[in-house]
Amino acid sequence: MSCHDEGSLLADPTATTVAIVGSPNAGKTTLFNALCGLRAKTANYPGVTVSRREGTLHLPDRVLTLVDLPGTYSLSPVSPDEEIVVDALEGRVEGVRPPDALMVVADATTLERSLLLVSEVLALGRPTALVLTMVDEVAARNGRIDMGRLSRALGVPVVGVIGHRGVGLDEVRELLADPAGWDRPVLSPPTSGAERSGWVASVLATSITAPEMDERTRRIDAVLLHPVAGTVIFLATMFALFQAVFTVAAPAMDALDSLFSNLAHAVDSLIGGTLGSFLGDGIVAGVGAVLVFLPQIVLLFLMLALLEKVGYLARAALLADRVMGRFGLEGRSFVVMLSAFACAIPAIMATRTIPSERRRLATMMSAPLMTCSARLPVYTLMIAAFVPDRSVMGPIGTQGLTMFGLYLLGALSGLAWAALLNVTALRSPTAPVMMELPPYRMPSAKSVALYVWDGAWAFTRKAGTVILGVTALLWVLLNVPSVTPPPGLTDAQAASYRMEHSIAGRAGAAIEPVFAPLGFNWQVNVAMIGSLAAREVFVSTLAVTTASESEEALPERLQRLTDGEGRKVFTPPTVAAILVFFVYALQCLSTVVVLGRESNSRKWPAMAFGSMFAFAYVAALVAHTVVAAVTS
Amino acid sequence: MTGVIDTTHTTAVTHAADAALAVHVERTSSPEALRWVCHRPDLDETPVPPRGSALEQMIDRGIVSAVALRSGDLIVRFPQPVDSAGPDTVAGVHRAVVDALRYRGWSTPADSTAVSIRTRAALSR
Repeated sequence: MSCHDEGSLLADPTATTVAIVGSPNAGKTTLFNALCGLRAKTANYPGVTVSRREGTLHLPDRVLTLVDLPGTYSLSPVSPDEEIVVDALEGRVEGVRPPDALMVVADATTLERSLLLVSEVLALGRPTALVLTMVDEVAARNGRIDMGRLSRALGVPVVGVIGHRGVGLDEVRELLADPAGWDRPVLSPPTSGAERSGWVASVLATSITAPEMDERTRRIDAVLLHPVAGTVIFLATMFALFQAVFTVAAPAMDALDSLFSNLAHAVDSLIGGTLGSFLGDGIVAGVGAVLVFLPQIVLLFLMLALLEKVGYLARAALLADRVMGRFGLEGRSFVVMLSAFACAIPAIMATRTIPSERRRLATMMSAPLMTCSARLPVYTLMIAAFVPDRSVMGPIGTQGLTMFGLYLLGALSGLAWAALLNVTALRSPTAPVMMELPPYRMPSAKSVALYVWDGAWAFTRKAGTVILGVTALLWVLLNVPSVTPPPGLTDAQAASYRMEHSIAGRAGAAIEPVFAPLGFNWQVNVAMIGSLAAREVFVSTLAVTTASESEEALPERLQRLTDGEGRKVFTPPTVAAILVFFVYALQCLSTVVVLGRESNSRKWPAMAFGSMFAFAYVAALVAHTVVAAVTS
Repeated sequence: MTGVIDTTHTTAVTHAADAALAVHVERTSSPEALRWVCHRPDLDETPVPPRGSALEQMIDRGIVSAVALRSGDLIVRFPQPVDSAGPDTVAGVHRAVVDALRYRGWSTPADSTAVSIRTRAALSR
C-alpha cells in the first residue's frame, strides 16, 4: 500500500472508472476493501501529497477501476484533502482521467448530513449511485429507511450495505456492472443553502423513519464526556494502556530475546571468523534487539485500534479540545497527535484534514514530540535495565509509571511547543471546527486485525531495511580498521579495545566533549549517531557495541557496562539524560523528509530538527544535573 | 472552539417556509408526468393551479398540459415525455411550482411547511 507512484494511473486506463465519494468515517474504505480486497494500490495525485487508492474490480462482463477518494463533508473544500476531491471529480487533475461514474457512500445513521453531499454530487451530472452503510444500526434503533422510496426521491439507485459483514455487496457489484445505465435525477437538486435544506427535508420525510436516540451511547457519554469523570477515565485509560504494553508483552519479549540471542550465537559459531561475527553479533543481534519489541508494538496498535474503532478516541478528542484550544490547537489536532503515538509520519500526513494552514503547521511541528512506537524500544530497554520493578499500589508499578511519565512528558511538551508556535511564528485566529461523535460500536475483528497488521508490518519492514542497513554499516565502522589490542587483556576487553579504536569508536570519542556533560561515553555516542536515522538503531547499536562484553541479555549487559577506568557507564543521571533526550530529539530521517514534503518547505523541517535537537540537549543536561544532585 | 455533530441524539424540528420549502421532484410511472412532492395535503381542496400564477401561465402556453393535486403532491403532466422536454423546461416548471407554493392562498397560515423532520446535527458550545 505504500508504493507512492506520483501521478501515474495504476489500473487499466481504458477501464470504466467509478470514484467512491463520502464523508470521513462513512465506511468508504471498508466498502472499497470489501470490493477490491487487498489488491488496492496507492499513488499520489500529481503535484500534491494527497494519496489516492485505486483498485480493480473484476465483474463477469467487465473490469472496473474503483478510486477511493479522501473523505469530504462537502464539495466546498476547506482542506487540501477536500480540494483534491473536488478537482478529481471535476477532471481538473492533470494526467488523471475524471471518473465515469460516482458512488456516494453515506452513513445511514447520519443521512440528513450526508444528503447535503449527495445533492452536490448529483449536481455534477455524472451517473451516480448511493450506498448506505450501517443500515443495521438504523434498524437496531427502530429507524427505517425505505430504499425504494429514497431511490425514487433522489432519482438514482440506492443500496444498503453492512460493510464488515458483507451484506449488500452482491447488490453493489450488480449495480457496478452497468454504471452508464443508472437512473439519473430528472432535475438536479438545488445548490443554494435554503433551497437545498428544503430538498433534504423533503427527501427525508418521504423515505426514512429517523432512528431513535441511542440511549446506550447517551448514557456512556454522560460519564465519558463529563469534564471531571471523563478526564479521570481518560488518564486512567492511557495509563492502563502503557502499563499493559509494558507488562503483558514481557513473556513474549523474553522468548524472542532468547530466540535471537541463541540464533546470533549459533550463526557466529557455525560460520565463524569475521563473517560469522558480522552476521551473528552484527546483523542478527542488532536487528534482533529491535525485533524483540514486536510484541509491544502489536499490543500498542491493538489497544489503539480498539479505542479508535469502539468510538472512544473521538470522545477523547472532544474532552481534549478545551485544553487544545488553550495551546492554539483544536480537537482535530488531538486526533492527529494520538495517532502520532503509533508513528509521526501518518500523523503528519493526517494534518491535511486541518483547514487552517497555520494550525496545520503547528500540529505538524508538534506531532514528532508525541511518543511514537520507535521510542518504545529505547524506553523499554532503559526502564527494564535501570528502573527497579516495584509495586506502588496494586498492579501499578514503578516501571509502568515511568513509561506513562515519559509519554505524558512528550504529550505536554508537544502542546507547549504548539502554544509557543501559536503565539509567535504561527499565530492564527480561532475558528469553529466540526467534529463527529460516532455511536459506540463493537469493532470487527477483521478491521482491528488489519490495523494491527499495518503497524506491526511497518515496524518489521523498518527493522529489515533501515535498521538492518544502519546496523550493518555501524558493524563495519566498529570493526574497521582492525587494530591489535595490547597484550594481557581478556577477550571481552580486547574486543572493546578494537571497537573503541575503530572509525565509529573514534567518531564517538570525538564528540565526547559535546556529550560528556550528559554522561555519554563513546558507546552511547555511537548509538546516538546511529539513532539519527531511526530511533530503534540506538538499541541495535548498543547490542552490537556491547555484544563482546558477555552473553547476558542486553539490559544486564548495560547494567554492568563500565568505561576504561572501571566506572559504570549507565548511572542514574546518564539514564535520565538519555530518556529525556529521546523525548525531545527528532531522530527520524523519514519524519524530517515527510515534514518537508507536507509543509512544502525546507525551513520547517530544518527548524524542527535543529530546535528539537538543541532543546533535547538542554533538557537532558537539566535532567542529568537534577538527578545527579538528588542521587549524590 | 469545536462544534460537535452528535450523531446519536435526535431532535424534532420544523422547517420554516421562509427558510426553505420542503419539496423535491420525482419521476412517476408515466413518462409524461412528474411528481412534485411538497407535503401539502391541505391543498387538496384548493383550485389548481393558483389563479394568475406562473404555473397557470405555463398551462396556457402549452408547456404543461395538466396539473393535479394528489395526497399533498403536485402531479404535473407534460405534452411529451419528460426526457424529451429538456432539463430547462423541467427547471422552469420547478420554479413555477415553488412560486405557486408560496402564492397567496397556497402558503400556509403559519408560514411553515407541515413537514417535520428529525435532525441529528446539534452544535455544542
